[in-house]
Amino acid sequence: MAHVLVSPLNWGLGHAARDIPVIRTLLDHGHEVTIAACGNALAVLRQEFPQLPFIEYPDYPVPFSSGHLFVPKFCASMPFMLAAVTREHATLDTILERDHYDLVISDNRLGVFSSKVPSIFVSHQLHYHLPLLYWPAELLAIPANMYLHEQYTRIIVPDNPPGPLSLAGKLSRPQTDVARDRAYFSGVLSGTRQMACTQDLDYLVIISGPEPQRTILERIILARIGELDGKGVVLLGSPQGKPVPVKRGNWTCIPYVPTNIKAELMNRAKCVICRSGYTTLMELAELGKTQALLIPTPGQTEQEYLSWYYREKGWFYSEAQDRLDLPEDVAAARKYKGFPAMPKTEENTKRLYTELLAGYLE
Amino acid sequence: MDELLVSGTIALVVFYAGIVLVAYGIVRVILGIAGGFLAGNYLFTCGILAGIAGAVIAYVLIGMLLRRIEII
Repeated sequence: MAHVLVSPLNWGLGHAARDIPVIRTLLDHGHEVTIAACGNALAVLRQEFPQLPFIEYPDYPVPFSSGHLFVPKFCASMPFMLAAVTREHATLDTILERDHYDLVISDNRLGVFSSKVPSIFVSHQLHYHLPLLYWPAELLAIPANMYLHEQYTRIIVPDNPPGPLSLAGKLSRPQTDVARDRAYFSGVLSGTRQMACTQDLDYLVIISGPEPQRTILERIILARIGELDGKGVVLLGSPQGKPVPVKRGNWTCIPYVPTNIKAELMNRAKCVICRSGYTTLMELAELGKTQALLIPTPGQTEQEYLSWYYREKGWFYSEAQDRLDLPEDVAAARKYKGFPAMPKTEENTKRLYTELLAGYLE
Repeated sequence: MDELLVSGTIALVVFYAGIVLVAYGIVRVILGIAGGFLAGNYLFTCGILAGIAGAVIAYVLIGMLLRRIEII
């Protein structure tokens, strides 16, 4: 029995959510897992695995901008990020001195690697996408990324291999020999499971993302949902709000629901209207959803790229938040075919364990 | 000292130095245009503006080419 340290980044819940099936697989094989995280990521994993030991392990704040100034703000925040990553790396040494670990799994935490213990990085972004105007920065990010990838023994890419089934497109394309040698394409990894239930909801709207964009989208959506035919639920993604559903005609608005209820609602929905965050998109793939309207968070270049990419592939329709016309866009979304058939999480985690993790743990 | 900190600091210093250099170049070009215009040297001014237009087009085309050949 081996001991594994799993440490997801706390930028949204996506990193923690996709680590759930990996942790489950490790536990199923009788290994010991310690979770090192902070904030909501830690809360989600605590809720999912209450029996596991936890270490409060701070990371760094999200450098997302509230508008279209993501790149300049990100550039300005880089020295602070570097200081935080260095601190994070030093903290890991202390954690590894206190207890014995056979493997470290870092989900996008750049400072969580060790020269003494095999370290695996989990990321769907082997390459960063920036708007065309910033192409020199995108070019410079390639060697910077290569340096980071070199610190890890392997990289788990929660995507299908580059090709027609790739969910992350150019983001998961290994650009250097370092990435090519280390990358292991695990396929979709999602904590959301398919349930045997009827699809009795016409729409599920998931409003999420950093403020103030979350509130702006909430206003845009709530002003127009009455124009859609059918029954729907709006998840406002506002944990501060009272978790009391509010009825608005055929619609129910809920400020916040636990992840298991959200999973159930996603299973019941015929059409999902949501942000184009990668974890949400893996959930759509896992549940085999064919109808979705994607609304990227303004200024988040990754989401903007993924929306564009899926539209180009004919998988899902997307529209910019400031150009959203709900009835028209929902009608357009119906013409798209959804993701093609691909292996699901259960099969992927089995393969991941046999082909990669077992080599470090058995 | 932590290797991560050393390499990161070097990379950041080079990156910011590059930004400062580009900003300095832009200021010099603007001053050149303004100086030429105020001195009545319109041919010189137009020459610089044409140069800028050419550089912008080249910049965008290089970016598009790098996208097309999947370097970025």
